Amino acid sequence: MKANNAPADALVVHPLSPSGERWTDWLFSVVWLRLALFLAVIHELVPWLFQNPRNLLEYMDDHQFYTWESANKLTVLRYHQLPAWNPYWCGGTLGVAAPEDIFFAPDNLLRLFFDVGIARHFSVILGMVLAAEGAFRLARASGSSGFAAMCAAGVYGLNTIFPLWISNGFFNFIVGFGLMPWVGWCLIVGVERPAYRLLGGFFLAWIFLSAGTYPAPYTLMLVGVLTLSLSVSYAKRGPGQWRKPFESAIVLGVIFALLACAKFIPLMLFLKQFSRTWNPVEQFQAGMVLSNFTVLHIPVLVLAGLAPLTRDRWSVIFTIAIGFFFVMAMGDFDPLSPYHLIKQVPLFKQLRSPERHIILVFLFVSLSAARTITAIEDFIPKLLASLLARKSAHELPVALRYAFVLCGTLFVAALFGPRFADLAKRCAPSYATVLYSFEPPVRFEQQFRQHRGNRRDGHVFPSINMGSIYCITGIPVPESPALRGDLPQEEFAQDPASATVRRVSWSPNEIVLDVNASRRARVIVNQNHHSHWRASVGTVVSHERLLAVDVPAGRHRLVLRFVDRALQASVAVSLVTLLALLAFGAYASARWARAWARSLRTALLSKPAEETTP
Amino acid sequence: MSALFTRAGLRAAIATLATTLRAWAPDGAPPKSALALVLIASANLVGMAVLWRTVKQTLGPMARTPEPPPVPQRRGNERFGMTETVRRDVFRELADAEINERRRAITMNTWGGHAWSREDDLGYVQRARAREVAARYRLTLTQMYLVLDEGIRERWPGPDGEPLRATSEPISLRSE
Repeated sequence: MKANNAPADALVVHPLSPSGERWTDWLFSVVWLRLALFLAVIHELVPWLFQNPRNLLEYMDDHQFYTWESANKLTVLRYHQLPAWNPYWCGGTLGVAAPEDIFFAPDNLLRLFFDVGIARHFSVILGMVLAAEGAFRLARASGSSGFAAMCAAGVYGLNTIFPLWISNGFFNFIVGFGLMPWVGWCLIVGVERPAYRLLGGFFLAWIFLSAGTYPAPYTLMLVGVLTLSLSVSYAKRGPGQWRKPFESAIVLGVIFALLACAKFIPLMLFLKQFSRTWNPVEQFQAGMVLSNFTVLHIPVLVLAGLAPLTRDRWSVIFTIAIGFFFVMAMGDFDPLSPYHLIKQVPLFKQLRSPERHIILVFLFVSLSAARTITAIEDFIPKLLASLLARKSAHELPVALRYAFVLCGTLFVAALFGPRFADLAKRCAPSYATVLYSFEPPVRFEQQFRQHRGNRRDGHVFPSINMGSIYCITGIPVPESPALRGDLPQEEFAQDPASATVRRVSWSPNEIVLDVNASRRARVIVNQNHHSHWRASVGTVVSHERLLAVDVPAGRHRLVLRFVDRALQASVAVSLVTLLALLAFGAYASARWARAWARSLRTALLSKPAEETTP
Repeated sequence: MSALFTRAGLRAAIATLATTLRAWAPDGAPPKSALALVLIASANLVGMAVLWRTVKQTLGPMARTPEPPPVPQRRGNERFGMTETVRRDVFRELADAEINERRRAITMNTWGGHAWSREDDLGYVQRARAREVAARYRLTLTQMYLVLDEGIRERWPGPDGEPLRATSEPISLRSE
């Protein structure tokens, strides 16, 4: 029985493998059934997530995210533009370049096809299913059995941190941290199978594009810890082997950088211009960090604590990771604390709320516990074989080997199954705080104009085609004090005697005006100024931080466009990379289909002698 | 880093890319026995059917939830589905909450005078009042904000006889 040194790619087990080697893993290897099971369990245990699908949560941040996503949807579907500029928030701010924006994330497609509220519900459910499936895959890639991996999936998928984030409206965290184990899985499998590195890059890019201000750096840390640990482990295999995990990580990183370019470059430029205002020193006592685990998690913690006794490399790696991320969650308690040091790295400077690292502790605890369960599961057949005075299970008749393996799985299932099921059941009520009780916005058609607004009910404004001047955002574009919510026209001449201004058309990134100026005049737009605005006539200027254009005398068709060249170039890079990956995916799928067809032909034409071959 | 741009570095990068392209191996090589093949294929087909059914049962009803009816357009004296009397009453209630909150902020010297934070408190109060008034008049929250906008634009007087401010404090986050 291979317990502790299982191959990294042992994801699919042949159901009737002649060796009988933990054949029960096959019972858990059908991905569709797993996904259906995860979805059904979430539906059963957390029914609140499926109720009032158009409604919002009480908490204001949910309303804010809803506002941005509605603004993006409007910009794309009504005006057929890339949401580079968001006029619906703060009197105009950056759109896709803003850290909180999720426009380029694959799950944003849901917003385009469904109502934003419904799509946001779907995103949370998707994130939780991804979290469970990702933890399962990562556990399997680290050699844990199918049953143990299902336990890990349950603990991570229904952790007690997610409810807090969901009730705050941080759905991007659920998707991001749901995808995090997928990146770890791709990194590990990618050491031997290079194509998985590309997939890992895709998942990491998805995390980043899904407003992954926290999930992306955390996943990078996860990649760092796994790469270093794997490298030490691979170094023992032969000269130069230590490089393989680094190759996997580098390729994954390059694909991530290319795919995420569409947001990464504009975001970096944005952060360079305007840095985060609120950056306090945060620290937490170990007890406080530990309190994220409830009494219910004690059996899991005990199992995770026992994992190093199995003395396999994965248990050691997971234990180191638990320790590291636990200390990270304690925050900036010392100038030499890991959190303080990591905040010196430019990209990680913006991080706060170190307690969020607990999600990584959750992941590694669940993976560690899975290692202990696997060790017990594999010990049973060994024990039974030794009772029959045999050295190895391979000396036993095939049928007996299968029976012993089944005994092992049934033993751990009977011992741990009810406990883990009970844990999931008792963790579920913590999601009861997630109540979609807030009424959805109602549509009202009118020309765009600014409302004085309210950031706490921001979701209302895009649906009535209005912007909210009063707002909040972590890193704001400078907001003009001259923005008003009572103007008869949103575009007007500073001196009404100098010119008349008439709106011809309006869209978030392009405003067309008819200007008739008797002399040189200043045309003011009731939106914030930004250096990316370009005018077809005259010069764009900042008038008390408002967008304004100085036009010469005469009749003009003035076209104001928001043009972000860096964004356009970055989108092009991401698009080309995506197309290349899709082409490669099609090529790989064709090879996979051919391999299966060949296998089918061979299997149908040859005698079934192989099944009994020892 | 500069080693990457040498000829050897480039050759190594191209070789890595070529290996990546060549080394694609499907997730587990296809099994060689017919029984295993049939088992895996059937399990996947059944799995797909089960997943489809589960998705339909759990997510289907969510996707079909109807959209609330839009706010009515202007019809005679009625705007946003309300008469002018109702709109003015609603506005007066919202304005009342705003005036009281602004007074409280000055009296209590909230946030040491930090203007945006006071505006943020006002937003909180306004939100609560808007919900309460909406419930009382059986209107939507969206209608509340439409009326507030109309009142500010039309410079309707609040309970103190003055129109409400049409501006908001620019965002200025506290550093702590």
